[in-house]
Amino acid sequence: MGKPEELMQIFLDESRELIESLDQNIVAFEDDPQNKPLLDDIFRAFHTLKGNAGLVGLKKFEKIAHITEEILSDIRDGRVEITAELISFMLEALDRLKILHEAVEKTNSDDVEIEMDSLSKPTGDETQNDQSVTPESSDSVQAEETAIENEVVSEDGSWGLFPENIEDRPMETGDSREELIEQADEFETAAELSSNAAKAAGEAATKKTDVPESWNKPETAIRVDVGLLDRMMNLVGELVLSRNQILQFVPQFENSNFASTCQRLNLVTSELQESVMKTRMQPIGNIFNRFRRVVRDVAKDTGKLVNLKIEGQETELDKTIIEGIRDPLTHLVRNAIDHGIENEKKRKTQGKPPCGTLVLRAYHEGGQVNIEIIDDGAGMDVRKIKNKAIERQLITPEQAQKMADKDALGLIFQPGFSTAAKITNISGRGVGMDVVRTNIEKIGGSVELNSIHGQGSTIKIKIPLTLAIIPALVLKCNDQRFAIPQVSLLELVLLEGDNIRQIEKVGDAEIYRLRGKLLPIIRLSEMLKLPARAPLPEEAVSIIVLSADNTEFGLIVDEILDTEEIVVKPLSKHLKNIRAFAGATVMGDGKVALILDVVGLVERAALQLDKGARELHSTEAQKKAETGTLHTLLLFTLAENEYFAVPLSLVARLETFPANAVEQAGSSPVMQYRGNIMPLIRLDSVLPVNPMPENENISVLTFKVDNNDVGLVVNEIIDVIETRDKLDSEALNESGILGSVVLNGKVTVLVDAFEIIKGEFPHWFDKKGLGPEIEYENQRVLIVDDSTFIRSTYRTYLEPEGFTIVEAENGEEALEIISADSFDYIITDIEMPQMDGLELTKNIRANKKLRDLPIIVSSSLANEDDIRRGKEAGADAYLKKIDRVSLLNALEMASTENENGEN
Amino acid sequence: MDNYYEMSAATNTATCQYATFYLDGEFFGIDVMRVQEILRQQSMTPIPLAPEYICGLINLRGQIVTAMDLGKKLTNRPGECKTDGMNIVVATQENSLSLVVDEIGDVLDIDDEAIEPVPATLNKIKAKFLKGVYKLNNDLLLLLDVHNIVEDVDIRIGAA
Repeated sequence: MGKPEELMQIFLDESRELIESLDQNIVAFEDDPQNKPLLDDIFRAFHTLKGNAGLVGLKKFEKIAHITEEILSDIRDGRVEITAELISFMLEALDRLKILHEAVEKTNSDDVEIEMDSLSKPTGDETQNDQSVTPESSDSVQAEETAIENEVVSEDGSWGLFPENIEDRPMETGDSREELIEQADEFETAAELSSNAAKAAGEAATKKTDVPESWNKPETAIRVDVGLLDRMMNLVGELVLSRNQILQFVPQFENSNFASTCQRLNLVTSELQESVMKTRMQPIGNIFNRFRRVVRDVAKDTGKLVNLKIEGQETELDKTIIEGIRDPLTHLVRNAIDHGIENEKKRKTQGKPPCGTLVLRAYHEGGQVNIEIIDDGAGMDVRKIKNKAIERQLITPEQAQKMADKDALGLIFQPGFSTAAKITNISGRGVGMDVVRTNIEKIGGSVELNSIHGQGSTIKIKIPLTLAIIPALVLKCNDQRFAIPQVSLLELVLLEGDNIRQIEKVGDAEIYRLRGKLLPIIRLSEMLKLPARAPLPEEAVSIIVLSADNTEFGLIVDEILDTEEIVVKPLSKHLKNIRAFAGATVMGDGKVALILDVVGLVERAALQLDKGARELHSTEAQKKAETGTLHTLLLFTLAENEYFAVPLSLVARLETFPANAVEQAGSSPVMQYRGNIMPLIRLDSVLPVNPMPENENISVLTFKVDNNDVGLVVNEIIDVIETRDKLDSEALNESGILGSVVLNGKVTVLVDAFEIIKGEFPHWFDKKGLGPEIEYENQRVLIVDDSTFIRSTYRTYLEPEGFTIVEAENGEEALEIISADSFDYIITDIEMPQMDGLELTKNIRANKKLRDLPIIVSSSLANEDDIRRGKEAGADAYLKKIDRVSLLNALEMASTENENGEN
Repeated sequence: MDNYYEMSAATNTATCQYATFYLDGEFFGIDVMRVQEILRQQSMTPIPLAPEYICGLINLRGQIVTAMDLGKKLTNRPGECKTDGMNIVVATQENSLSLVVDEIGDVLDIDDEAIEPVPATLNKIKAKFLKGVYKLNNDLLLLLDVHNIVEDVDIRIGAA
């Protein structure tokens, strides 16, 4: 000590602590005004602040502390009653001290302009309440006070801290009186006020010496430089490594003395490591308690009643992490009050207690600390979130429809999303929940949101205990080891053999379909510009699926080694700009390995990923245009490794029967099914394939043709797959086969089930058998659908009825064809590239000549809304299901509907 | 450390000790007070994307030290980083840094007043890295400004 800078630093450190404790204590005191020891604490804190400030020559700081101390002294001595105004005044004074503190920190001086005027207000209050000094009726003084207050408020719109009048005010104690006179001069009761204030000031001055000696509590803690603790951490880390190496020698020596000494060394080292870790640990209450003030202020600003409950404040966390979660937590707490908890009136109408409850809870679980922020407010409306996300173009309406509620809630963490209907001063500060998430992820944590509309929300944050030692996945790339913090790790995928080809190349970027989801792929060797290594032909590809910054991606590395607890060491500033590494660590063999910074990697790769996504988007669109919409196919096998599929929408049911349930009727197999006799067709007997193996059970796909059930016997039902892949209808030109398609890297034959059934039971397909007699011979149908598969299916249904079929891939093409040719029916899909089915229908209806052409609209999204939209566009019938009967019924309906329309 | 260095420089104006070494055929000296220790060739972990003059990371008894190819740093000499030289570990504001050089020389006492300004002809080395020159009987000792060397961070991001 001794140097002025050092002294100032000590002052700053100490006053920061004092100010922080005051924040909590004053608010606590407001709730419990009878708490004398607490009042004493507050008094002592201001006294210390004043004394210290005087010592380092900070006049403004000293003065504010002094005024407050005087008031407190009066409260202590029972001369003044505690009022809400007084508490607010103290907090305001504290806020000014914070501003000064910050200024001192930056400039070593408290020479900043600061609103001091309003600080004289409670001095008046004090005298007002002190009946022995003020003969004036308190009401009139009150009125004056309000006037002064209003004046200050109106001057700069708020309790501004930096008013226009910039001048250095002399800082003697008596000045508060002079200022008061100046202020009060504008009002009529100047004389009374000034004399009161003077008296009060004088009184306080004489009482100043009256400081109790008892407040010097014995110190049980010492202040230690964080740098020193870090060094100790490092040394202990080193010690742990040396111990590990020594322990490896124990078996070699076979000396019991050596062994037991090592055992002791082992224990002591572990305990030492734990203790040193503990020195960095702080109870989370340190920040939780700060929220008492935040909650009070925000609740006051928003006019809501909020009761804050803090649980588990003794839960300990590394100091760095405590610092790291302060801002995200503040944001979440403000959000919870501002957007979550409703105002009193609304709460009452919903039958909730008028006072909202906000719970801050912390607890240990599985080596991590969980923090929960629970409010019993309005909760989140999933529908609103979805709509907002659609509006912000974060998702498409289709995605929204399919999205689970939980995923929808996750949308609020997306950049560019803010749930607040209007940006408020309190929570809408231009930073959204995405920043909260990023900040939490930065310290290796994760955040998750649960909300029930109308009942409240729970935000759960999981964070590691410490950043110094983390579990990590060790991997190899180009013969160099790297570590990845396990928090970012989602899963590991190993691709072998043919599966490697599932990594698709889109332009320069690579993607992998992980359970139908598109996963951008980054190769670590490319990312780090390591010399490319020619992959061995039979080598497996290891993909590490990572999540960071809201992005999921796959990282291809050479080899995945193991998981290990690693000690994180920072990198030199010469390496900070690389952004690909979060630090380095010493491995068990003494070699250094770099720790990958997953967020940094994403940023570095962002360009590539973006480009990939864009190209992917355009290719997907292109693909869609080429090969049509999504089909859901039922995948099955006949003989080993021969894959077949039928569109799931054609299949009535999937059944499994014991093989002995099959009976013979004549030469054909049949079985009893739902009270009827169902004929069975063994697919290996009608298709040119190898015979199926005989099993105990048989798998049957049942189909319905009019009212007849029929079963196709297959070997094994594998899966239901969604695909957009192109159907190759040329390669296999066999009857009963629609074409082939590559699914999961395997050539799969698409079976034309109805063709096969028709081959066996032609009489079922007799056109006479269906409904009223309508002659379809030589009628022309235009089928508009972007799916080759759908078009060929319709063709299969309609050609035997005598229809002539023309196909078009989209609305535009259809219009062209129609303009050159005439048709009796149009069957069109809704979702198509270029021009969709609704647009096409409208176009046709707008054409006088074509106004009466029967149009049937079909879509895989057969919901009431689509049907209504189709009808509105002018369609005559709507096809909900792609089966033969429905199609023929729809044609019939369309023609009669159309006739009716004409009448 | 830095303060200490400056204090020692300020109080001891008469002579100063310099640790000398050879690098790319030149003879260099640095203030001995800046030298933490000298190590033989170390096993280094290469750092992808790092600035060209960074050789890699060394495990110095559990402390991770960044090694810098001093020759590349001083002259932007092209080619591979030298990783097989001697390591002069110097203390910096944040942590230690190792300067990789060819060969270590003696520690010399040099009178401050005998240090001459850097001749303008010596333009191979960036001026800010040099403190001055000292004439020996048959050689020229180039005195380096360690502070400027270790604090000079290449802000370009790797090779990207």
